[in-house]
Amino acid sequence: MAGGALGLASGATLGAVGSMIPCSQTGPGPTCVRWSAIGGGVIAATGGALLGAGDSNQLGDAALGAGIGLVAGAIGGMLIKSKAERFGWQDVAAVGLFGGAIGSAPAGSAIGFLSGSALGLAAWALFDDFKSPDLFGVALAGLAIGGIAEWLVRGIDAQSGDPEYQFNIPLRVGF
Amino acid sequence: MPSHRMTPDVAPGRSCPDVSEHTWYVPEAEGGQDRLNDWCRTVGPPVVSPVPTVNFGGLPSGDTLTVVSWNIDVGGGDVPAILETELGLACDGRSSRLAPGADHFVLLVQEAFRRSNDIPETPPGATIPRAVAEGVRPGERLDAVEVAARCGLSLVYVAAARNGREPNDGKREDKGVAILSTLPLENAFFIELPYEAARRVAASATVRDESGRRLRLANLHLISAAGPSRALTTGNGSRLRQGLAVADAVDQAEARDGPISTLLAGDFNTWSDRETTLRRLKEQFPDSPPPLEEGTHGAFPTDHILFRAGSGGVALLENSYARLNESYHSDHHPIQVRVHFAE
Repeated sequence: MAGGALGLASGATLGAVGSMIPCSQTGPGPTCVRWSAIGGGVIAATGGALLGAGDSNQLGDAALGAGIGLVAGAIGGMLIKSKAERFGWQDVAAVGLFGGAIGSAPAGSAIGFLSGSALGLAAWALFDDFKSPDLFGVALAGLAIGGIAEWLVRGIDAQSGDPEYQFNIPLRVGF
Repeated sequence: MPSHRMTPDVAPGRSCPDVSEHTWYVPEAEGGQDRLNDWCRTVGPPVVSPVPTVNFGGLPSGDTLTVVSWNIDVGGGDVPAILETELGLACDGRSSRLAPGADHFVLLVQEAFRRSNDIPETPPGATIPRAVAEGVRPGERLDAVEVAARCGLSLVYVAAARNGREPNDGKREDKGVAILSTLPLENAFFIELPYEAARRVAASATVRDESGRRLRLANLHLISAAGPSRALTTGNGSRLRQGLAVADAVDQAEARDGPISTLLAGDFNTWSDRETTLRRLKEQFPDSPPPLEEGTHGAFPTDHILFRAGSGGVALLENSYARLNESYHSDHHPIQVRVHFAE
């Protein structure tokens, strides 16, 4: 239950933020963002529920990461608030929420962000019509996809009974 | 996305805008009314000087009108310079005159400003944004009212917000949108856009040729960006909501006044031509010109002119939609289109 709820909050936030810029370039606009949030929320909630049922330790790690991300995001939001006119406490909370979503799935978010940035840079170099906000949008979309995917992969792994891959590294120490 | 529906009836409990003197369309939805009121009560009343103080003559049937839309960055843009250089108007008070062969024109200005101590002193609890930072430029810093007076033009001006708390050279300032023309400006009305991070307004007025063919012009300035919480809760729909609100108000005016050709222009704050706001508005303004190839605010295409022929007899001249190369010290380039009135 807790895993599903954490996954839902994280996935919905990632889905909404990650789709905002790409969706703003489509006819449906906000409707596209809404469906992305729902889709992200459902996928990550499923992953979170599976994770909670299969590996409570990993769920604890995800919750701890979400907490750290929430605090880091809120601190970042407060720094912006001190500089930006009309940046309210609700905006600080929104940045905190986004930080929490990233913190709950940090590896997938990071891989997704880097992949999205690389893809965006290539498109920016190749296509005149692809502008710097598009690049930022693709990077954010990559972050969101990576984060949501991490929730799903962790959930499936937790159910498979083979929770993590192990690599044997031969090492000889001489004296 | 919250409602974009508009109404001519101001919500109970609001102290402004004053609808007794001018027609307003305001947001129907409850959300944001308090904030709109907090901004609204800091600005001065609209200015409507419908008749040019110089007789530039009427617009003959079969003639062409030039429409320019420009975000002047408050005192940054040199309005008299564009009037003289691009529109052929020599500004000289009651002796102002159009150059031979120059079109009648309508200039739609965003981030127009007014200097006046009729603007109220700062009421407690009111919202007043910082003054827009301006670069140093040659020429006088004339507000919209002063430009109209000096150049003999008709004027419609409405403020959205104050331009800073403190007076500038002894006078308080507000900022908003203005319409200046060599033709009489009829049926002026104002639109208060739904609240999205800041108060924004639009202004509309109608011009006609000598045979009575009418063109309604609506001048808007949409929000640049809402805060993260607003973006999350609206699905990043702030500009779309404001744009659709302007279209709704214009439609209501058309339902009231009858079919009319309508030109919608201004600073949409879009960063691409593909943005949802533009796509949706172009469905309602199907006779709009194709997008410009160059950015108007740096590399970004923030400024646009949209059009629907409506009752007919008024059309955009093909290939006349263009960005002016000179920015006249503003951070936006002006854009213009020529409108042909049939014989």
